[in-house]
Amino acid sequence: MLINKEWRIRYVFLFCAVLIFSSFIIGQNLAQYEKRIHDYTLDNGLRVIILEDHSAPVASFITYTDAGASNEVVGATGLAHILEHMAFKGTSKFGTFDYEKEKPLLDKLDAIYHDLMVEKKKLNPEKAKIEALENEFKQVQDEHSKIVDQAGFARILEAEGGEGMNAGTGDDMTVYLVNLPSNKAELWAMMESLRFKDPVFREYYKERDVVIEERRLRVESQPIGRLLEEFVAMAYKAHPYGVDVIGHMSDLQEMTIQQVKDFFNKYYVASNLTLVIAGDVNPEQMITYVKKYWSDLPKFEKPESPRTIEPEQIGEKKMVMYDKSQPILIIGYHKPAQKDKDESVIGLLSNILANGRTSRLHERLVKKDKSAVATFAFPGYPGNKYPGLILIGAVPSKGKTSAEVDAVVLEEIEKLKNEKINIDELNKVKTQARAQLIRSLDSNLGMAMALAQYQINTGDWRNLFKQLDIISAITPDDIQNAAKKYLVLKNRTVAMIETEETK
Amino acid sequence: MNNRFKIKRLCIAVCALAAAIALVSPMLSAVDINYDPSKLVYPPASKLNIPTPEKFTLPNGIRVLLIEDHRLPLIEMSVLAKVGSVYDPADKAGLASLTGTVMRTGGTQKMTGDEIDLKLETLAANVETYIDDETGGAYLNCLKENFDTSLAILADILQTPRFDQEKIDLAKIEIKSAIARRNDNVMSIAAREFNRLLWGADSAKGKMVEYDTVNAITRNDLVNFHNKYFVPNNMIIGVVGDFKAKEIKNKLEKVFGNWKKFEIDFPQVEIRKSAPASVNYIFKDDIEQSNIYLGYICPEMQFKNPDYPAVSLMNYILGESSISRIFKEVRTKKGLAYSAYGSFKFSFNNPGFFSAFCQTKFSTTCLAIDTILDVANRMKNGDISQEEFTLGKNALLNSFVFGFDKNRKILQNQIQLEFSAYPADFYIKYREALEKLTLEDINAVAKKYIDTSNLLILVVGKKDQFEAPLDKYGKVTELDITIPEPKASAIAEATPASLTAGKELLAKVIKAYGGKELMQKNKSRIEEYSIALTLPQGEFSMDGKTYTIYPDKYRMDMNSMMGSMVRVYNGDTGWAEMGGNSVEMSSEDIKEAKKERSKEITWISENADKLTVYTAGEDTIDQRKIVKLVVKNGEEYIATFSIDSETFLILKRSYMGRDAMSGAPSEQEVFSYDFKTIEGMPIPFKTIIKQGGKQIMEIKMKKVEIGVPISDDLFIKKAK
Repeated sequence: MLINKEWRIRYVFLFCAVLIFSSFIIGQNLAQYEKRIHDYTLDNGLRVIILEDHSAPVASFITYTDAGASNEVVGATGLAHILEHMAFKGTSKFGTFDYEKEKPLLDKLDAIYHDLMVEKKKLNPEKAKIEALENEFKQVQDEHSKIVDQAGFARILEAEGGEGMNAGTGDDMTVYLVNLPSNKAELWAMMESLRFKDPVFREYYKERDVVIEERRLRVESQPIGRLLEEFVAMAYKAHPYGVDVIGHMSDLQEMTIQQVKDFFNKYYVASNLTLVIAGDVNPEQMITYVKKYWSDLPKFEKPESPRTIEPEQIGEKKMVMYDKSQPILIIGYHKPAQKDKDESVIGLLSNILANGRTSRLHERLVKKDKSAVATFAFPGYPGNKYPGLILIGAVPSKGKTSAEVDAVVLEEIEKLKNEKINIDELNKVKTQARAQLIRSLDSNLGMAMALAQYQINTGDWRNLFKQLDIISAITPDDIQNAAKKYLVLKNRTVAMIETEETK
Repeated sequence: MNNRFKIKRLCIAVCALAAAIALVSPMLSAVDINYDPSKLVYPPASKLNIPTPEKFTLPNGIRVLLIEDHRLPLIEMSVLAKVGSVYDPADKAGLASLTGTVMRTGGTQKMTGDEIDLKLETLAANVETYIDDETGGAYLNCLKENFDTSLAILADILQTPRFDQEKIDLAKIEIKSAIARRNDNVMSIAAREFNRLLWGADSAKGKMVEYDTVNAITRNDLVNFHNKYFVPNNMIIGVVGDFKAKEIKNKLEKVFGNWKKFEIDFPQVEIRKSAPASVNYIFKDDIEQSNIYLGYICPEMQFKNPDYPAVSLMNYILGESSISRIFKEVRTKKGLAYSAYGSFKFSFNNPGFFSAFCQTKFSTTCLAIDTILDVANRMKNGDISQEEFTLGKNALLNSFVFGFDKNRKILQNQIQLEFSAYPADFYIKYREALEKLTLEDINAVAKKYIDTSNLLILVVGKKDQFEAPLDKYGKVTELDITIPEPKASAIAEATPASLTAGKELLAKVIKAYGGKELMQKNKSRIEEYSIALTLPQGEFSMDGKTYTIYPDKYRMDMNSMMGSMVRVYNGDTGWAEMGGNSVEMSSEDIKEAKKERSKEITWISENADKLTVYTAGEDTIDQRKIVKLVVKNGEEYIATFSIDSETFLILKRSYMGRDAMSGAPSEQEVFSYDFKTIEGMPIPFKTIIKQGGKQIMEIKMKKVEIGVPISDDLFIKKAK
């Protein structure tokens, strides 16, 4: 059992599985399933969704914040994610041996750090002064670390059987999750409320270093990480989707604790949070727990969404990265947000194109031409709440270049636009979508995430189940029209790795 | 520090505080934070219902485990077999993995692979096969109404895979593409090389799949590998889902009933019980962090060890959880790394090991290593506190349920236990043992098993940016992970047309060399020549004289500035003499020597009837058009000959031999030039030998005598 404290939604396309499905069999199963879902809104605006499943004495608990990297502004990229890390640092009671003593030390650290930054940014900084401040900073840090009870918060849940305690930050949201034996539901309601009622962002400067290491790990030390960061930057010139969730290195290095607190105060308000509990819980009992611990969160207006809208793209964008790596090809086409009527058609279109052994690109590139070893497509990258990208990718075979694979991808896309898809092929992806939905019902955590996401991105979790009828009504014309509308050259962004030798 | 600054800082602090209070104050005034989780009274946990799978064995030896689960209209099935890449021959590494892939993609007797793809995807069913290091098998997942169709396909895949050549070639492209990509990701480099350091780079678990080893694999190899290991008595099948056990039993009998039992003679796999301590470094240019592994083999780390429950608890405290000591020290307290962990890894019936891992910026590489070592050493001294112990024990006991919250997991556990010959109640017993553990127990296992004195250390990074040289931990070995270019060119498979063409071509070649009768008549030969050697140490030259009596006697007398050497082989034994010392040929050498003969046209002409000979494309050598002729003896590949398409002389022979320096398998290419006819036979007066694409030897013939008498005494070892 290896626990990484967080993973980023951006790379985990958890939701693809439940985006699309068709109707003709699930009917009954699904209607019954929907009956087991209950939702409530507290007076302060906190939304609670409860899914009953008594097949095992466990439950998944998530807190879904309607704020992520998209809510960051220039100069503060990576903020949502750093805050997610800080949300594991505890409260005034958990995570410290003596908060009375700790509080002044934390303030002192922030003050020294402030002076240090002021000095460092001077045109002619005084070396001695910097050194002195650094020494003092270190001294206070050491003093502070003696009264910190590391993992004091997480430990409470771990000891009671908490499993998979984790969090994730995406462009659209920040989500905190844990699985517990279901009789510990009240403990979760209590501790999770404390986490957001009484957070103490202790050990901020060390945790910021951890996040910087995470950037080195995910983006800078991996060819695919470097490529994706450039890819979104190229695809978006205005919308925050153009900056990787992890943020720019220089922003991270200078991020202040005040920025983190401000972000927290603005976005972590009751009206911006959704709690989802899925598993062996009694809904009435559960809502009693939630009310007991969460009702006193003050009522604030829901914070504003980012205003920037990505302007229409006016021409194809392309980048070639010559790298010490084998080739990788990534292609994106702008698409509307998840709530748009075309969403389901785009989901099917992606699957027809590149998912599965009989998809168009796999048949052509992998089986026939043998110029790629894998193909894939995602209908909503890097996010889905705002207009994202239809992402198409391929991994070229040894000795093949991304450019030659790209040319064939274009050919196959033209076919989708020029020739109407066969009804059998359409039915195949519909059946797959339906089966995917049934399979996803088996996971408490997966369903909890999907319900929250539908609630936030489309305004009602019930839309998850309405997709059923929408998908079954999709025709070959719809697919062709969507291909013609979205898969056009001027809407296209391509990023590729080619080997250094081909330069 | 002067006062002005202090005041200024105070002002800032006060202002910041005021701002924070202003923002947060509505909350502070209203919210209740005085909760005490220790005062909570929990309702009793709902009962965890762990179903016992229904177990039975089919007459042909397939063991079956079933669990009914009617919540969703789905059925899942998995098949587990004892098979794996540990059984790959070293020169055909990749065979197991290739077999595992092409069983599924290469079709069955009834359907092609592409037909299977379409059928399954139309039903939204998944059927996959795989072969890993030490296990292999298959997996099926479908809607219940499609179970019969899916099962029939899976049963055919297991029993009668077709292994279409086209899909083998495709899988080879995939596997070679993976080889080409294997150094792209630093994490996989570190994990792979640590594994090889641990178990031995050339061991069954450490050997690498290379272009050459993949090229050497033939369709027949796949067929044989499959036939050997995929027999019913080597299979365990588990099914979970929406079905009636009785019906499934009938269905399984129907599709697997005719599969014949066959006892497998499993090759011996040596797994070492300790690895030499060493410090290893790999340079990688395009990264910004060191990837660090520390570890050692711990043969006692098997689940059946009575210490397993205590060690699992110690693992939790040491470095397996986000509240563990390694995580806290390396990440939380020092901010050195994003991921940091360390624990003992268990195996069912083989040695386990300890490993710790973290990634940190180059300038804190040694600090991270030292921090982990310090945590481990302190724990070895038995400093686990009562509090840590209680926390860990509660955590493990309370989260135990998550191993059993899905029937799928329960079934997988039971299949694994059955496969490893462990009792079915293993996990229940483990939980009981966990409950009984005391603090002394885990401090005792910490003392017993933690050992940082014989560590393997591996760092992938840029050493010029480390804060200190790694040799503080011991002598540093820099590992070269360059991907070896393919040496042997891929050997094409025979077709009826190429076999016919090959036979005809060989007849022409034999004729060009004077015919079978002449070659048999001219069995003896004396050659005098000079050799120019190109070795890593430099250039060397020597003179030599070889006496040969076909088929199996030869004697070489060599003279160089460094002295003289004699090498004799007489068919059964052989020896070398140099500077008064005599060394007998090993059985391996004799095997090689025998093989050597089989690359001569004389031997081939004699054995032409029993050899498999076929053409394999055209090419040019020095602007001469050539046809490639592959010669095999049964399944054994002998060599590929490049035949001049006008003269039918052999311009080049290529085959797998041993590297002159290392003895490792290596592609040999022998180029022949300047043919002169002696006693009716064409003899090359210049020969160039390349090994792995590099020239190592040039031989210039001075004199050749054919058919002259040679004394047998030359091949007998004289007593001293």
